[in-house]
Amino acid sequence: MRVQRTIVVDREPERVFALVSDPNRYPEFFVGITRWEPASRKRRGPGARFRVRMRVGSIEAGGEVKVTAWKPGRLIAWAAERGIPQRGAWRLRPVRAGTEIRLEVEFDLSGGPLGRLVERAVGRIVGRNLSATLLAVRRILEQEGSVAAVEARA
Amino acid sequence: MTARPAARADAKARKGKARKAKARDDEAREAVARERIEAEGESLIRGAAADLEARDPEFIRYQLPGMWLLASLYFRAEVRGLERIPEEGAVLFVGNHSGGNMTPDSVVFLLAFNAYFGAERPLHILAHSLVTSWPGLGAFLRKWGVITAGPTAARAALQRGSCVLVYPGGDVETHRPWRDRHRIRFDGRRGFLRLAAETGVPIVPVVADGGQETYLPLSDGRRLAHALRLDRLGRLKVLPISLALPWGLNVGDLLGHIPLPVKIRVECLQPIDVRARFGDTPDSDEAYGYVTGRMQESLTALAAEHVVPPFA
Repeated sequence: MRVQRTIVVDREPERVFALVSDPNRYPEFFVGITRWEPASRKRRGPGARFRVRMRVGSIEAGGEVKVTAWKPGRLIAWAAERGIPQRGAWRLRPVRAGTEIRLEVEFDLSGGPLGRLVERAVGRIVGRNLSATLLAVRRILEQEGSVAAVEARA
Repeated sequence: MTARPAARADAKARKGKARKAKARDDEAREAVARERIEAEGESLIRGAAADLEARDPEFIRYQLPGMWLLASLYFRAEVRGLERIPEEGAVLFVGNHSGGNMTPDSVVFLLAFNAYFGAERPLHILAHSLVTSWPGLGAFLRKWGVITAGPTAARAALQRGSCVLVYPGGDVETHRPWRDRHRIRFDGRRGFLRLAAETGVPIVPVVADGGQETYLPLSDGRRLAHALRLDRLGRLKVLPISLALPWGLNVGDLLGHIPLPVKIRVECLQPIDVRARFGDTPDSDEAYGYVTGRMQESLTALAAEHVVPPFA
């Protein structure tokens, strides 16, 4: 199942990329993610690995993901190497009002009719989490922007 | 006079021969015994290895979502402290056993572990041979990583770097009567401590609460089992008597029962390095008391979260 959400932020793509490419800050804004820790020495760029856990309803699930695409200012994509089969991406696109951020996650909870039921329920939860995540990203970017402006004035 | 020393020498020689013959016999007998033990050991190891190979990550991945849905709807399962488990390498989980032969908390932990770390990380649960030899059920459980209990099997799994969950209390604990439902009851069994020290693997206690309230255990029937010689015949130390669905009065629990939908809480505690903490005497009273004490603290705390009736 594939879930995606978009939002427009009044900031240039490079600023957005700086935030969403920093896994240390994921707990701050990535709703539902309880852990996104480096599992390889490489922490940025393609090939970096992370141990990821996500709370979905009453369960904490996860595994290890690897960054599969990395285009500064445009795209970060990952795919699970172990654990729940999933992949996802941050896609950034410059628009007139700033940057359009698209966050997408695709996962597979196969397993007969019960599995499909779970997949649909999880899809709803993940969708809500992605929306909340994008709102948090916008809040952080716009606040940081204003803090920087205040600091610049001072 | 001369005959005597000759006779003595004769007797000596006879004795010597007899001794030699006896020694030969003993040696031969020993060799046979050794061979038999080795063959048994090897078949045990082969059996254990076959058991370990039966775990099927693909099957687990396929079954997991649906099974979790059922467990979370029926038992409102809640598992805490998974983040305390070392991310890599073998771990010896030591659990308290509850719920008679149905053990719903083992199922909950098994599902939570596989979801959290992914089905690629092997976890083996040691179960009574009666469970793993049940037709159909045995094969199903082996795919989930359940293996027949025994020190050989556990050691083989740990040495491969797999995680192992043991229930030292076994049948004596899982059939404990209602009044002891919030008690850790390992019955003095310390094999798990020796196992952890020998293999150098950390122990993570897994404390579960709620399982013993999924039915009404009246008595573990230990004396009855002893009187009927069940301990000798079937490695059964207990003959539990309970009130359980759908039987009403349930003796033996051999066919299982329908567990009541009680909330199940499971907590993983901080890892314990038995070798570092207790050195050469891993199975001392001190070590045993430490592990069971930590587990009792946690179980009491979990039990304190209960709202009456126990379904919340």
